Amino acid sequence: MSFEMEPAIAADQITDEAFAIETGVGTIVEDPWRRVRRRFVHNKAAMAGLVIITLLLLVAVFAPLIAPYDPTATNVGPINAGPSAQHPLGTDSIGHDLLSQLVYAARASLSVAFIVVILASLAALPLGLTSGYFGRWIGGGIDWLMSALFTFPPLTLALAVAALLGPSLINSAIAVAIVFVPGIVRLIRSQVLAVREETFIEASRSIGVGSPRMIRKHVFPNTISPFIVQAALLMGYAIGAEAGLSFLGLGIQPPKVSWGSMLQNGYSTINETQWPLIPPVIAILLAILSFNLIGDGLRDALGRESFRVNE
Amino acid sequence: MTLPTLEGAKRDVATPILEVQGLTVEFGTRLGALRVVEDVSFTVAAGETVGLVGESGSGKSVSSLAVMGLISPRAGRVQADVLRFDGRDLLALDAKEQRAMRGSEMAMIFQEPMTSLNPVFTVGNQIEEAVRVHQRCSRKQARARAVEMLDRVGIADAHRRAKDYPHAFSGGMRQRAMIAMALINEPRLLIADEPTTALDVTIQAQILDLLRTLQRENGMSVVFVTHDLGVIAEIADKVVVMYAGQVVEHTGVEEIFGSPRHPYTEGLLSSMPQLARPGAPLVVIPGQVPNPDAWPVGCRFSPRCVYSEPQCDAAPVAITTVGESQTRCVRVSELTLPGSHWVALEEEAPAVPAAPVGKGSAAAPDALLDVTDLSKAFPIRSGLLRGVVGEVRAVDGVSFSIGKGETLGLVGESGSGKSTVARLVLRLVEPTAGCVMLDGAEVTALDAAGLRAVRSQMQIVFQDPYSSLDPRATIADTVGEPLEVHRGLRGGDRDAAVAELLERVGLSAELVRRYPHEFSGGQRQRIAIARALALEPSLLVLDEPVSSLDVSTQSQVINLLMELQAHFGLSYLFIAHDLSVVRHIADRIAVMYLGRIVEQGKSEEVYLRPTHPYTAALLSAIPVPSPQIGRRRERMVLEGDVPSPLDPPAGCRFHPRCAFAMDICAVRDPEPYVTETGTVVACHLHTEGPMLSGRPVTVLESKVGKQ
Repeated sequence: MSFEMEPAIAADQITDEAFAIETGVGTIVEDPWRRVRRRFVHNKAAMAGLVIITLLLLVAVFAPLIAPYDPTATNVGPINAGPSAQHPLGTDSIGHDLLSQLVYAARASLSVAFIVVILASLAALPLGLTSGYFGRWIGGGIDWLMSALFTFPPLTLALAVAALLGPSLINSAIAVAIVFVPGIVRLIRSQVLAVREETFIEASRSIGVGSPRMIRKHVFPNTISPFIVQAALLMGYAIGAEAGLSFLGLGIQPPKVSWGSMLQNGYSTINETQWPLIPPVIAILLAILSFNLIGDGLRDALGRESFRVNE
Repeated sequence: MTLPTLEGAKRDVATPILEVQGLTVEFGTRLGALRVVEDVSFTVAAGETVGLVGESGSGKSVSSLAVMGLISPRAGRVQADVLRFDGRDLLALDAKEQRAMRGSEMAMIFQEPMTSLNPVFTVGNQIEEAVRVHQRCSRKQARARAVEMLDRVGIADAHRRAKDYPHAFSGGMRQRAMIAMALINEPRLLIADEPTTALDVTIQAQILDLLRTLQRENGMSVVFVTHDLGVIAEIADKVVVMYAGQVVEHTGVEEIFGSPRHPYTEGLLSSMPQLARPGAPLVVIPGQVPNPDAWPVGCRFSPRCVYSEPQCDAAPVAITTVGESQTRCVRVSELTLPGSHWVALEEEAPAVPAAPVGKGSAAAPDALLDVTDLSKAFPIRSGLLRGVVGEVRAVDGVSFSIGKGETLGLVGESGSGKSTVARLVLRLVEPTAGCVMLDGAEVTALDAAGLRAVRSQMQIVFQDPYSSLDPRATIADTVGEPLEVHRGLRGGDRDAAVAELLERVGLSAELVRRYPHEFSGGQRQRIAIARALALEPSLLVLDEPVSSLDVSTQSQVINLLMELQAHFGLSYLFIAHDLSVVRHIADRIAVMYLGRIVEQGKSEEVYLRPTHPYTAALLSAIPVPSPQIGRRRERMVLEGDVPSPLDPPAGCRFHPRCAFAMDICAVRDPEPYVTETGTVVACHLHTEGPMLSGRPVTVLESKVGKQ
């Protein structure tokens, strides 16, 4: 037995939106997307996240202009050195300039994040929409498959896929994407199951609208907002996951670098110097934190009131 | 105006329990402070019931929340010249004192019984809690009080039911439980915010009776918030009519119905379908209630008022006191407004027309829609393998037909299966058995392609205009969808057709690029009607199309539907729970109970001379817009709730609740019988009844009829 808990809005928590919904008074008409933007922009933490991610993206795009040295060049200076005027972030055990590496690694790490989320979405969106929209057999079948995928510990699954495909940047992205698929499918499916029961779906059916059009025009647009939130959060997880795989040597291969492979390099010389570990760790933390802040900001901005199916 | 008060002066009976003067409530919004309630004044004497009437957005609920102290200072600002409860200044109380007062001295019940109880605690637990918050007593004593109170509010087998969780209670029982919780500490003032709006009329009648009885016993005062003037006529002593945040009229209940003084009150009264001649257009208050950010400077009702003059718009209108009554109208001294002429209307009802006696006289000639023996059983699945363990027979052998250009009203309470019938007719739900013929085509036998084609012939308008429009689609997309799907219209052609449709239903064609959230309920329902009309159907299924709309909007939409019918020669299957609305629009009425049609006939016949006890009870439960008659008449109040369709009673399904039940009713299903006026009724009273019980069937009429 499950209880549907939907408490009536407590009277001492009446906000203007809630108040308008409760009473119908002062329903202030505003375009929903504009409201989302206004709320997001007013959220300081989310905006900070957005600024950091934008900066990181700019760094990645303009890496050749920013990096003082070739990131693959060795012995550009003293080895295992701390920060100095020539090497602002120091150097590692074979004399790579860490700033140059970090800047180029941003390219790999960020692009993996985007590739992972795009791949996972391309696979999961159609699966989620069909499994939610079509009843028992198709929906149940897809759901069963996703449950099976869910039973693997995520890291083990990613390791297995990456090992199977062979170590490379794109393969590690595929591995992480596969791990993400069941979560997105579940999310979309649950959303579709709710939307499917809405009267406007029945209204369109009574007009004679067929399933493909129904999914495209009515179901999908009404499932998009939780998906957007999830996508932002997954970007962060993808950066972490890629770092993990690269750290284990299953990701990007030398001489190319990602933040994860920088960690691996730094770790291998941890007994001599801890310094090379610090820049990639900070970069990874910053990126994950920023994506999470953006995701949270989107969740608040896309909140129940603005995108309730049943507003 | 604050009058000096004599502190400690002896309070006599006339001292009001609640005094409200100049109550103003503002909410902080992004656009600045929005004043939603302004200068509201009224008093409630001990043992008195004051009705607070208004449409949505009138500020009636906010006013009652403000009195209860349920508007937090963070959200809104409550100000008043006087806000006194039992001589104490409510605005001077701190949070703790307010809490102590809430639930013990003044209590509140809300509209939605389904969400007002916490699903994870038993009903008894929750009532116990209400006791223990305010009184020092043991758990055992509290439990005993709770059970006693549940018994008093009419919960059968209260001792056992107190251990049930809310989901085991029906809507009516939950509202009874809420009342028990509100009254357990014997408050002196009860604020009831639309307590019966979500309930069926027969349950509403039970709850109103209960409130009256409890009020008599406890001598408590009641503030009854509602939009339904009929309910006001039943229960209120004094009435406060609110419009756009202000009190527009404050007077006795007899005066409201006999000689209303404000044009808005008169408009509300005259737009009640009960007060119109059947088939004639309803009186309409044009336009809609303005939002608080767009209230007119002068008289707020002036833009919608037929008596409006330039002087009305000049400056804010003050309230005028004449005798016991207060009215906020510039022209109050010159206008004489008609009151409720319900009595006169009932008396001029036509005599029994000579109708052909015989079989099938209730069937429509030249039928467009023919429904025969339609049934739907929903399987109940349970257990590991989701095996079928039972079925709910939502619709059980329903037959009717609708002629070209005719309206059949399908009436029933929630759970009667009327909405399932609507979906079965359109095959939005697959029937288990039976046949639906539309204009010679057997809808129930069509394949997917054929069904899609026939769907342009019949369209549906749903009850809730908020969920029946896709929030992510523009009006052009929504109304244009049938045109795209069936006619392949695109772009400019489609938009031109949509614009034409919008104008047809009384909306501006410029609105095509807007989204549904920018429209009010009535406008959304017009959009839904426009979508249904796009393919020029011959049959429109209207599933409670006006029941979620405000009174003044409701009559606008009914008029629109009647106009469209006359213009296009449409046939309507009009589904509603409100018999007075159905009587107004329908040619014939079919009454459903637990999945079956129990009575079917011409609407005037069914309305004035019901032949089935259930129809009679339904009619008797409708509040009458006349306080004199409403309170004097003898009513057939149905006991209990509609039984579960999972396990319907044997024989006649109505017999456990029927005042006329005979032995045979529990055994045998009644066969349809055609009376001399052409009404088809399934009731043993008309066949076996008079002989077996010795009571003539005409008893029905005298029980319900006019006094």
